Amino acid sequence: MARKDSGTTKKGILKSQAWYKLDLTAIVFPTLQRRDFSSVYRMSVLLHEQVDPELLQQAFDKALERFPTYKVAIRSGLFWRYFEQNNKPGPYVQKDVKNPCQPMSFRMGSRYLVRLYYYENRISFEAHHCLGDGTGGMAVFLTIVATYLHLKGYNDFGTGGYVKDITEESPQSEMEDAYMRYTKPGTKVTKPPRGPEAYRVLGTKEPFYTLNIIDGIMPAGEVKTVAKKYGATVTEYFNAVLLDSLLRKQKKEGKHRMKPVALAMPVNLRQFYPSDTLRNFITMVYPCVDPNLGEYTFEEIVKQVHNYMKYFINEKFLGRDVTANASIQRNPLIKIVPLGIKDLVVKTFYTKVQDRSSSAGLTNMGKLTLPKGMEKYIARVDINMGQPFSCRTNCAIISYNDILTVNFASSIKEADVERWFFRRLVKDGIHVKIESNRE
Amino acid sequence: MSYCVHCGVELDKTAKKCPLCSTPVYDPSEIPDPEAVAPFPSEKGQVEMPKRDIGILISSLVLAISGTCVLLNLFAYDSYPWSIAVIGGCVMLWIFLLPTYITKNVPVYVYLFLDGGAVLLYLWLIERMTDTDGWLLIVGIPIVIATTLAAEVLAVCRNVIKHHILSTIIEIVSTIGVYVVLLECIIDYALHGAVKLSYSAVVAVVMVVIDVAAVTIMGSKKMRAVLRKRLHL
Ligand SMILES: [Zn+2]
Repeated sequence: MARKDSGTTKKGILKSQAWYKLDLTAIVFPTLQRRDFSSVYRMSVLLHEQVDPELLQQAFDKALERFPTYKVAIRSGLFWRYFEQNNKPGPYVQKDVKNPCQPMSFRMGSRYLVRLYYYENRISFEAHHCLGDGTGGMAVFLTIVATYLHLKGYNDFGTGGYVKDITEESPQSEMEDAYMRYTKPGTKVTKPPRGPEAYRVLGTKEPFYTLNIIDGIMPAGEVKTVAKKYGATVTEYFNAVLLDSLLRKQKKEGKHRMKPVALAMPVNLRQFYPSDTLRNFITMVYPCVDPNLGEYTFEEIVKQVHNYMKYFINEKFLGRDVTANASIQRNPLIKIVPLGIKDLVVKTFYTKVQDRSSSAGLTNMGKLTLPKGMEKYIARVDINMGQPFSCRTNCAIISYNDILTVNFASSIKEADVERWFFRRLVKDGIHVKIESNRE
Repeated sequence: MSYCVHCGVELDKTAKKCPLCSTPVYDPSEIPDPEAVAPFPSEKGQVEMPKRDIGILISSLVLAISGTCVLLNLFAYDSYPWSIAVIGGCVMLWIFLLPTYITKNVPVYVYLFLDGGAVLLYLWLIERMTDTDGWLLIVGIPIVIATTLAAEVLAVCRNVIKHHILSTIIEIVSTIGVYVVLLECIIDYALHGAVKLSYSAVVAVVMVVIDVAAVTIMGSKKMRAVLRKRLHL
């Protein structure tokens, strides 16, 4: 990957032209769209007081103008999909529902790809993953929340970090396709080796459309101490706990042939390739443990994950993955394949290879920092990966103000993986509080 | 503040059971607070979904083909009412493809039943058109019914009996055996007016042998282990 200076001279993508292309990661999500599935993620904040829906709508309208790449509709061209500025009325604030992260149709209603919900003290934001990753979504969401708080009359905090200034024009750097900037055309890299087919959780599928959520709320300090005891970071520790739970689950199923257990974990590329983009800029890594090599103790799993992360999460290896992907997209032959065929190929590759290379998803957004003074209005922050593509459970982690939340989202009835996950934390001495929408 | 006695996790005030292990919460000293707010709303949201385009597409295609054929039949090639055969075929195809565009959860048995009905209807049409009496009643209808029944039995087995490679083998093998016997009975009766099993008897015997073997293996743990060992499964 070659580096170029940010802030190229191109004008704002939605100002100079009425449409723009999807980025490398975004291309995949629309092809996976089914009647009962969309790649929608969710973020929530818990305030100290009840939410006022009317003020929230005002804040939503005001703040969304600041983020042109989130006020779009997706459309299909002959060869590629594209985003188009959306000026239809909406999107509207809604009462929260029991089954969040519902499928988002590209053609129905006002075509917006974001939703905002309220329930008691909680505001929740949902966005289609093709718009952007967690970093981008968080900026949009927290700016909406900050605008709401301002409208409520709490003006003793400013902007910074995720909270953007809604009076300023959105800079071009936030709308860039960072994948394209950091990959040079014509660079030849060897394709990343394909991992083995991973174990898939055997679960009873929930009827259309149920998303089971289990949130674990715990003190971030305790988690940090425990992780340190194992000589790992918090992310590595949680990866190991989830791998351990999946290993147990596989063992309990009593299958004759065991498969490796792997997690799909997105890595934020901004930490290696500086970019302000609010669109997607992530790549995936797959830490895994193979039970066929022998019984792993928990300490060994932690060590394995720790070494995996050390080896793979660096500029060079991550850059290789992205460059390999980008060169496919740049290939002139692939460019002229009609969209329908492209969709079929991408979808087949995803369901047959990519989805099978991991047993669960895990993401850790790390410690969330807010502008000084805003903290006292926000009690807790949750993030949720949304409905898993196949029968499995996804796990999203975020910490804020010494409260760390682990949010599981699954579309299966069984909660075995979650149970072993949280029991392990309790065993390690972490105080866990559970909240769920399960009955 | 309640904790799950099995998991050791703190539970929400409104929780009636542990979300992780379903153990009921029982805390004699804590009076449930009717004012307490659950962490998630109880109202389910409605999902807005586009209509299945493919249903409209196939239906309009069927209508277009049928319409064209009727017109051609009436005005161009009007020697013989051939368009009825095409329309019948189209209707049959349309019924076969029902599962691809019906959104509601309809049991597979209903589809199979409808498919059988569609074939019967088509056969009846052909008989009426070609003026060849008799074959439908003694061969056509029995074979269609036998085939539909076999498919229904297989569908029931797949839905009711637990998935296992051996049980699947038994289901398929038994159904094939019975089906072939039935088929020969029907054909024999139609041709000679009497039933004398020949090839189907061979098939049935083979199937019975396979069934017996599979049942024996399934019933014995030791046999299963031996089979696994021998076949390196
Ligand atoms: Zn429990």
